[in-house]
Amino acid sequence: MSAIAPITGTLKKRIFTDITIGFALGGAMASYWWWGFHNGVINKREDYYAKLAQLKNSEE
Amino acid sequence: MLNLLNMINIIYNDVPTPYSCYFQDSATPNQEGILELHDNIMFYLFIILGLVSWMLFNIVRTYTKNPMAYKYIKHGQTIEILWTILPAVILLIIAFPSFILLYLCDEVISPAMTIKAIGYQWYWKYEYSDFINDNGETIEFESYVIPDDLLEEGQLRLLDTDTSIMVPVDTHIRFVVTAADVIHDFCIPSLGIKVDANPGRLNQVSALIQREGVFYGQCSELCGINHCAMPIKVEAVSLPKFLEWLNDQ
Repeated sequence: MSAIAPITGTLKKRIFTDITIGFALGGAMASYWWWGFHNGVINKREDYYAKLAQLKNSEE
Repeated sequence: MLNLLNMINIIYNDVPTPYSCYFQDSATPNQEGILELHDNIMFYLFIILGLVSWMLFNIVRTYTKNPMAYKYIKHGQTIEILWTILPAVILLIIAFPSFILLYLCDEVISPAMTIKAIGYQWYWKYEYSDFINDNGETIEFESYVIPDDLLEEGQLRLLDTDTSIMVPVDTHIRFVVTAADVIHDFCIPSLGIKVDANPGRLNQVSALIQREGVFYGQCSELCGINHCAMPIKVEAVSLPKFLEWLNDQ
């Protein structure tokens, strides 16, 4: 038997917590990107084209 | 605070502007698709960035003061399977929409008109091969950059040209692109067009412009000393205005 016992079980001990925190962090950033930024840009564009279509219809 | 970040990022314009981030406003379905795919991929990248940053921070924090760390570990089956399968799944999720967009953009279905763009050192020449003038010749003209000393108020340096490509909106247009000397690249970001102009080869790309406006592009393949001075200017106008312009040619 070695003087220091082999280090085992570390993966199970902390990996789940670390992955959860990591994904939570990344998920928060990604969520802001999608719902806070991307959707705003798309909505603005869709509104513009809706108005344009309305204008075209009224001209015809 | 978060809105402040948005203010920094978005610049609503159809031209490149100093220090701008993100894309120019889209004007074709192709560019809208490209934008959607980019934002989709960025979503996954943010998740990966969060995970990797946290792991890196954690590893540095934990093992800075631990010289004995993992002395006996040579191989970790579970974690190796994990970090092989997970990226593969993420790549697949990214690859499928990417291929769909690629093939959709590549499709040129029954265009209403064709414009041929020929790259020269250092200007562009355009041919409207579907139309002929009174003398029976196809409409063609060259397009040169406006030199700095001739720029008028409101004109854009290294972007404005003496003649521009006139196109009608809501019309399927095909650009046939080639070059006469070296490789150039016909690129208009707002229209989602970026295609190499190779001597002796014809490349084609289509565009359906959805709104009127002036769209600017630049040669995007280093083609010589004046590579920066052969911009592309597209004017999208209504069909009656386009026909009027056509009659004047």
